[in-house]
Amino acid sequence: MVSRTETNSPRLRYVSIADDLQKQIESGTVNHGDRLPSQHEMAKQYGVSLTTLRAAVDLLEQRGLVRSAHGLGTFAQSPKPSDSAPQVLLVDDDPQVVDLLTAILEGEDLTVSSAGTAAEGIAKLETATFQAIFLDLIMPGGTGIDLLKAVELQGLKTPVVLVTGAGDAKLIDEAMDHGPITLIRKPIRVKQVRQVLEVLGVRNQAKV
Amino acid sequence: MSTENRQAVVSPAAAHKFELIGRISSGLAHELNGPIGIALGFSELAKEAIDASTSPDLAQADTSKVRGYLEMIESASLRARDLSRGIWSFAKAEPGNTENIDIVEVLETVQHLTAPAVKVAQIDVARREDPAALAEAFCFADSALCQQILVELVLSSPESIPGGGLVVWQITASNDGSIEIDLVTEPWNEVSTSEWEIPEYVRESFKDMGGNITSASPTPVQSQADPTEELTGWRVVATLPPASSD
Repeated sequence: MVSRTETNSPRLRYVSIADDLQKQIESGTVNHGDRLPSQHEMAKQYGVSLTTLRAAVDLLEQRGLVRSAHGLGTFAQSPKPSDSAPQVLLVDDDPQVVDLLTAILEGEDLTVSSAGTAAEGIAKLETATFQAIFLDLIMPGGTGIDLLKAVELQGLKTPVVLVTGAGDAKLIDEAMDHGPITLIRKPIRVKQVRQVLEVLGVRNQAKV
Repeated sequence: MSTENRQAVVSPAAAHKFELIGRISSGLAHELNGPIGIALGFSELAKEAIDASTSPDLAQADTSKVRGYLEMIESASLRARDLSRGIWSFAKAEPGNTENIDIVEVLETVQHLTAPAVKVAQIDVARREDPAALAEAFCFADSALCQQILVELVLSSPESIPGGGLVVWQITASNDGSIEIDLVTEPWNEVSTSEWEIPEYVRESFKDMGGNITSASPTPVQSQADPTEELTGWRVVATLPPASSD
């Protein structure tokens, strides 16, 4: 799926549906391993198109709360609590950008791990499971596209947030060929980052 | 003086300067967004931290947090100031004064000026970490002219490594006391086949100062991604006369 999340849009229908399903999983109404109703049934239940429902399931999968098995259906997964492991990976060669994003994310009780190059970020992907990756595009030694390819290759569902400046249009187009991305334009606005975290459901699982 | 005569006295270096200012400024304008955005972001956080205080007295707010944010704003502002100062001093420097200058200092300035402009071509400018490289190197040359032709060289380097890479510089002393400037372009991860063409006025300017410049030539370089892999980069070596004792 190639999509771009418009972070300034009003709350999207598929996000609300994903949030509702997430509540059911986290409250135990739906247990770990339970098979969810078919997507057709859920679409009917929520009164939305199948496309909208699929987007909600994709989002839940990115949040690590469901897994889809081809031909078998969609199954609920328990959230994995963690209060010490880094939850967000920041990949940017500008230390001041890393400082700002770290301050914002830590303000949301999230732990952060950072990398100054795409190669360093790829290495970190192998050491931890992240809830989200904030990624710059132009960096020394390789672009953010290299990391997107690694995410794709490893079959990770981790949502990627591109944090990029003007003038990178060609690279953004290329990035979108490697999976769903959310785009934040520099200069970074604090509220925008929080909106993205909310849409992607990124939160400190241990404190939920 | 007629327009025709006025044009006749414009040196080749002066004729190229406006173009260089434009190219550097374009890169700097992009780069300035960085620190400005950082300052704005930390301002938002600082205001929130103050607003979060239940007491109207700022002393009751989390002052260490606010202070940290203010320090980040200060640091970003200083970075923005340095960027704009660099282009300003480059624009106003006029060739015509030959004296003993530290070419290492000149190249450090050139690195700061050009880095934002070549970054968009995915190129980094860096100084080689080499024991033979000099920390300071005095030569008898025109500082403003040296700065301009070195800027020209670095800005023309992306043509030799179209897929991005590193421009690495180092300064060494030759046996005869002259100062050697070594510029090498190293591709990130692909063999580059494009040539690095040196503008004629750059070549002439080095000669006018009693120095010289070689043509760019292919040179083997170690791959940044895989140190066992050898790639082809391009190398330019220029010399400048030793410092005068007069």
